[in-house]
Amino acid sequence: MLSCKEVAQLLNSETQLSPLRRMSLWLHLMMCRPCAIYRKQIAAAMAAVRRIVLERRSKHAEKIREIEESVLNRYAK
Amino acid sequence: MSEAARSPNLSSPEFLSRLRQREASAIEVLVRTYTGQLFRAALGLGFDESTADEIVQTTWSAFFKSVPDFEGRSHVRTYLFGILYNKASEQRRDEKRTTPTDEAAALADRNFNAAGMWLQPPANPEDFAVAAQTKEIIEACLEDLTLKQRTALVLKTIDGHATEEICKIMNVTVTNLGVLLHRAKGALRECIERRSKGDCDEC
Repeated sequence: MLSCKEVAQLLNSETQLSPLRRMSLWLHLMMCRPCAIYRKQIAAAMAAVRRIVLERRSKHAEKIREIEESVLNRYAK
Repeated sequence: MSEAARSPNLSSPEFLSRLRQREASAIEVLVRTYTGQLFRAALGLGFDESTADEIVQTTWSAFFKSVPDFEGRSHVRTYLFGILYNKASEQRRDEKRTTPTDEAAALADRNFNAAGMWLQPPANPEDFAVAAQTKEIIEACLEDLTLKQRTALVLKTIDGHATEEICKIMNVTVTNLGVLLHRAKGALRECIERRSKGDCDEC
């Protein structure tokens, strides 16, 4: 029987789980409302992080080009 | 497809020998393939544009200095990201910023009693969802992660690098990586939840 703390660790650590472990995890999440909420919160947090990081990165094509040219000038000429 | 999954041929022995001989066309392929990935990784780790620029340039310098000794046992991308991570760590140290105390991760652990059950179950999902939509809150909570936690998070969950590769880049075991991911995500959630309740000093 998995504890809620173990469930949190298994959910977050992204380790490969045996079929038995996966089943235990799934059963726990079906029966435990706090853990089900926790899982949703983690998913929401990660979605938000992804959005922000990708947005921050999206406008740099020009800058990246500059860096490439600078590096190539030093090492490929 | 994640960035990590592209570019299969750049670790062939033939390509590596062209690199060691400083063949300009090989260098160009390499630099154009990975500069963007390296730069975006540095941004993902929280550095501003000009610092990320510096970090990427010193990464390339270090790479070209050491390429004669690079045996190609790991993929050249792994090697590059490993250097980047080291440079990022050095940069963080030089910045002398207040090191994140890892407090949120520790607080996250204290949510459970000795039997591993929730002491205070997660709060209202709607309030949390609103806080998670607030850019300033997410950014502030990201800043609170240690560099190790943030690197694990960005490399794994955003850029989709394979576990084995991240372990090589960061020089950690698979178990360590799992712990880092757990602490990073737990800390983020904890931070967001506290701010959604107005439950912190900086709110």
